[in-house]
Amino acid sequence: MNSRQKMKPHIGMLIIAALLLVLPLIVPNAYVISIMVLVAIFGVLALGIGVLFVYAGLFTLVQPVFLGLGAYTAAILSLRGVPPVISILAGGFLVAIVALMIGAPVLRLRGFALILSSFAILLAANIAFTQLEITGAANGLQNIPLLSLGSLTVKGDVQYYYLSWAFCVACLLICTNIINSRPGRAIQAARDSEMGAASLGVNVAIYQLEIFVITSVMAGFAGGIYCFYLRVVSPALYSYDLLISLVLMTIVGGIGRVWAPLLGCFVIMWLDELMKAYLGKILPVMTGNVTNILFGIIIIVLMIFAPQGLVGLLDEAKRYFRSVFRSGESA
Amino acid sequence: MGSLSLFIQYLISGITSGSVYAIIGICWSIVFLITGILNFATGEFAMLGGMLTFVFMHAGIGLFPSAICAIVATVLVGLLMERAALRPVRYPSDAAYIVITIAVQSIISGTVFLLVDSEFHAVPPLVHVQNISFAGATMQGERVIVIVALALVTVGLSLFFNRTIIGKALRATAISKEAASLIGVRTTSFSAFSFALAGGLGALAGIVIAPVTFTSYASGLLLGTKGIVAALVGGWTIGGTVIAGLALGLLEGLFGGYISSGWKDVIALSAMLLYLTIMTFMPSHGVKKG
Repeated sequence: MNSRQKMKPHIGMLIIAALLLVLPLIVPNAYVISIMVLVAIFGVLALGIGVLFVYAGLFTLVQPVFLGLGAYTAAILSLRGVPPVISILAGGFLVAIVALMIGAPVLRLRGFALILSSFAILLAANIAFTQLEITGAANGLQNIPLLSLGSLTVKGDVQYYYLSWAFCVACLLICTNIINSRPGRAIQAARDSEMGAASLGVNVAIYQLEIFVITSVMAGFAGGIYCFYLRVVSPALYSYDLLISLVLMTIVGGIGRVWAPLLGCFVIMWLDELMKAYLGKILPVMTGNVTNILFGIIIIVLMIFAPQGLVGLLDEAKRYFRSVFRSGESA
Repeated sequence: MGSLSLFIQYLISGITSGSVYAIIGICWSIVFLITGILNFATGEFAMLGGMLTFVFMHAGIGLFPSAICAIVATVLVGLLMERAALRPVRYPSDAAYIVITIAVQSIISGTVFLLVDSEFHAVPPLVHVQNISFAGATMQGERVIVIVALALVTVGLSLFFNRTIIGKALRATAISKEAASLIGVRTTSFSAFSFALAGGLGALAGIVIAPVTFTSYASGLLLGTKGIVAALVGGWTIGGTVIAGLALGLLEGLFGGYISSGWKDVIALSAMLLYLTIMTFMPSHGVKKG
C-alpha cells in the first residue's frame, strides 16, 4: 500500500467530518437533526458489533442489553436526584461490571453456542426490563430530568446532535485505535487461528474480554445519552426489533473498515424513515414489524449477493474504475 | 381446590406446554442434524400452523381442511426458505445462516402481522375429547390432544428413522454428509426435505397448542426459543428432546403456578445459558459441532 492510498480516506473523512459539523446550519430542520442524533447513538452500537464480529470473529447479540442497562440506570438514578452526568457514568460502570460477568463465561463459547447464549441473555434481559418494579415494568419510566452539568443544560435537537456525534466520533477513534493496538492485533490473529495465536503466547481470552467490555461500555454510555434525549425509557426500545436493525446495519456497512457499520447505520435509519413516510400512506398498519419484513429481505439479498457490504461494493467500484482508467491511459 | 389438586393442575399445564416444546425441539434437531443450520424460524412454523388454520377457517372451509391446508402451506414456506434464502449463500458460516434465519423469522411474523392482524385468536381443538377429572383437577380435552400429538410424532418419527430406507439415509447424512453421498445418498435434496419435515411438524405443534394458549403473530419467538432449549439440552436426539421438553414444561408450570408467571420464560433461557456454560468446561463432552 503506497502513501497516496493511505492519505485518501483521511481526506474523505475530513470532508465528512466538516459536513457533519455544519449540517445543523445547512439543514435547520428539527426532524433531520433528530434522526441524525439517533444515527449517532445506534451507530455506536453498530460500531461495537462490527468490531466484535468483523475483527474478533465473535458474533454476539447482546448489544441492545447494554444500551438498555445504561439507559435504565441513568434514568433511575437521575429520577432519584443524582446529577445526570454522574448517573450516565454510573450506568457505564454498571455495564462494565455486567459485561465482565457475562463475557467471562460466554466468550469462551464458539460458533452457534456463542450466538445462542447471547440470544438467551437478550431475551432474558427484555423480560427483566418488562417485569421488574424498578424499571417501571411495561410502561417504562417517564419525566426524566434534563441533562445538565452545573449551570450548563443540554436541550434541543441541535445540542444533542453535537453531543451525540462528539461521542460517536470519540467511539470511532477508540475503535480504530483498538484495532491497531496490541489487543486488536491479538484478536485478529485469534480470529484467523485461535490455536496459532495462543501457541505464540497471546492470551486470547483476556484480549477478547477486554474488547467486549470496552464496546459494551460504549453502548452503555450511548444508552445514557439516549434516555436523556428521549426523556422516557420503555422496554420496547431495547428489544428484538432493535437487534434486527443492528445486525442489518453491520451487514449493510460491510467488512474492511472500522467505520463501515456507521455508514450502514446512516443508510438503515434513513431507509426506515423513508419507509415510514411513504409506505405508511399505502399500508393500513405501519410499525416496526412491517419495516422488519423489508429489512429481513434486504438481509437475505445482501447475504447472498453482496456479503462484503457497501464498503466492499465501494472498493470494487473503485478498483473497476481504476482499471478502466488505466486501460484507457495505455491505449 | 385443595393443594394437591392445584399441584396436579400445574403438572397438567406443564406437560401440555412441554409436549409442544418437545415437538418444536424435534423440528430444530431435524434441521440441525441434517444441514448444520440453526433455524430461528422454527417457532414461526408453529405460529403459521395456528394462524393459518384460523385464517382458512375464517375463509369458510371446515376445521380439518383448514388444518391440512395450514400444514401444507407451512411445508411450502419451509421449502421456499431453504431454496430461496439458505441454499444460494456463497460464504456459508454459522453466523451467516443464523442471520438469515433470524431475517426469515422477522419476515414471517411481520407478514402475518401485516396481512392478518395483531390479535390473539382461538382455534377449536381438532377432535372433541371429554374432559378428564381426577383428584379434583381437570384435564381439558384439548390438552389431551396435545399429548397424543407428541406421542404420535415421537412414535412416527422413530419408525420412520429406523424402519424406512429414506429414514436410514437421513440418519446416515446426519452422521456424515460426505460418507453418505459416497454410498449414493442424495444429500442435497435432504436439506430441503428436512426443512419441509420441520415445517410440517412445527405447524402441527402450532395447531394443537392453539386451542390451549391461543395464537397470534408474535407467539413464534418464545415457542421457538423453548424448542431450541429442549433440543440442545436433549442432545439433539428425539428421545432426549422429548424428555428435556417435558421437563422444561413441568418446571415452567410449577414455577409459574407457585412463584411468578411473569418470570417463567426466564427458566428456559437460564437453563440454556447454564447448559452451554457448563459444556464449555467439559472438553470431552463439548457441544456437538454441526
